[in-house]
Amino acid sequence: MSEPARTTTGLDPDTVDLDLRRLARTRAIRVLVPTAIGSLVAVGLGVYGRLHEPTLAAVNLAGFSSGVAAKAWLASAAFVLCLVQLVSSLIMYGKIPVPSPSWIGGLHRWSGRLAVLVTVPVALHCLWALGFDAATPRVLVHSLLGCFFYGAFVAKMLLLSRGGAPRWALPVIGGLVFSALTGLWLTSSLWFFTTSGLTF
Amino acid sequence: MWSRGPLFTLLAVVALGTGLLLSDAYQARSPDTPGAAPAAAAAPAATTAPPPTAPPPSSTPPVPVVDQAVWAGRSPGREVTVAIATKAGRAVAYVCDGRSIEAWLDGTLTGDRLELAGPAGRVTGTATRGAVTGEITVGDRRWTFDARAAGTPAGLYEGRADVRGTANRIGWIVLPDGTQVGLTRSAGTVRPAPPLVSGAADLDGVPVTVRALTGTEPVTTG
Repeated sequence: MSEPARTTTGLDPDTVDLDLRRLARTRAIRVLVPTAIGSLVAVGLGVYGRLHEPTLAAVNLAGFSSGVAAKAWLASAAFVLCLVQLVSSLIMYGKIPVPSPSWIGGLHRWSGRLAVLVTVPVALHCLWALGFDAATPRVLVHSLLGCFFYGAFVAKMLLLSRGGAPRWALPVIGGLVFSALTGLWLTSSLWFFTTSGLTF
Repeated sequence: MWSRGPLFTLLAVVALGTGLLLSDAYQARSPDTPGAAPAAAAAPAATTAPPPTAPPPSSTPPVPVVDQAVWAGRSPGREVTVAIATKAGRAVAYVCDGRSIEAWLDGTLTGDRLELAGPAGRVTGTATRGAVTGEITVGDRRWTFDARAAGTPAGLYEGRADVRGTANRIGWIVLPDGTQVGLTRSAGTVRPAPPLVSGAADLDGVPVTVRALTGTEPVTTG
């Protein structure tokens, strides 16, 4: 009679409540820690870009007429790969009504790896040779997005490497990474191509 | 549960970034580009015997990467065109947009470092025999630029002509593809430069005295 109330599943509600609370806390931590580390990366890049004296020169890639042209094309390659990222993730989440092929996960992972690796020489040229700048709105937006992109990327990789985050976390951070790269491409490559023409 | 894939990706990015940063840093202090050698080169003063390959003390200015060269190029957004000529460590430059902006500058090439200034602005950059990358400031506006070595007839030209008693000064940049960008200035007003044909031009029917600049001419005194 004085037996504690039990749910139909036979679980002690207090224990369930405790488990749920622990789960909620774990989930929060699994989002907050990657976000915090990503934020530190973004701020760190910005501070470095501001403090480092721009050298105005960096290792150049062979085959392009100028460092800027090489950057514009590399960034465009990254942007195309990023579109692959968007489409493959939409298919994986069932947002595009096509049957999800078994290789879609592999495509998403490898296109993403390639995309971010292609951005690295571009970003380092920005960081090493030019630095964080606020001379014009375009340059300021580009500088901010550049720092944000790598912070978001780090956060996403950390989020992926450790399970247990809420389901919304990955699409949100993925969307942020995609938006940041799109903004970066618009404020650099597209600007370059519209002002200098499609030069190699 | 940890999955290794994303961490592997993260490490690959960090490794590539570090590698490129190190090669940039190495290039910046390699003996090919003495101007970029940081103050670290002066550090061995405290050691007993500096190695025989130690760079010369910082009191001797580094030898220019190129004795004589002309580079011409543009800002990435094509806002301005620039030409720089250097000879024996001295340098002159002309920045022009073909409409209203122009600036004459002079300065030096020390090692791979170009430093030029004039009444209207300044140009700084890093030079190799084949190209210059740098920054242009005119008034409160600023652009980066890429310029490449320009062989004749591409280059930097200055013209002077007296038309009905008024002195005119013309600057032309001829890019390697043959494009000419220039302005004519007289008594505080500017207008487009007349075309430069085989190194000659005329302004309102008056022949212009044209000279190709090499880097040692006085250009900032007007």
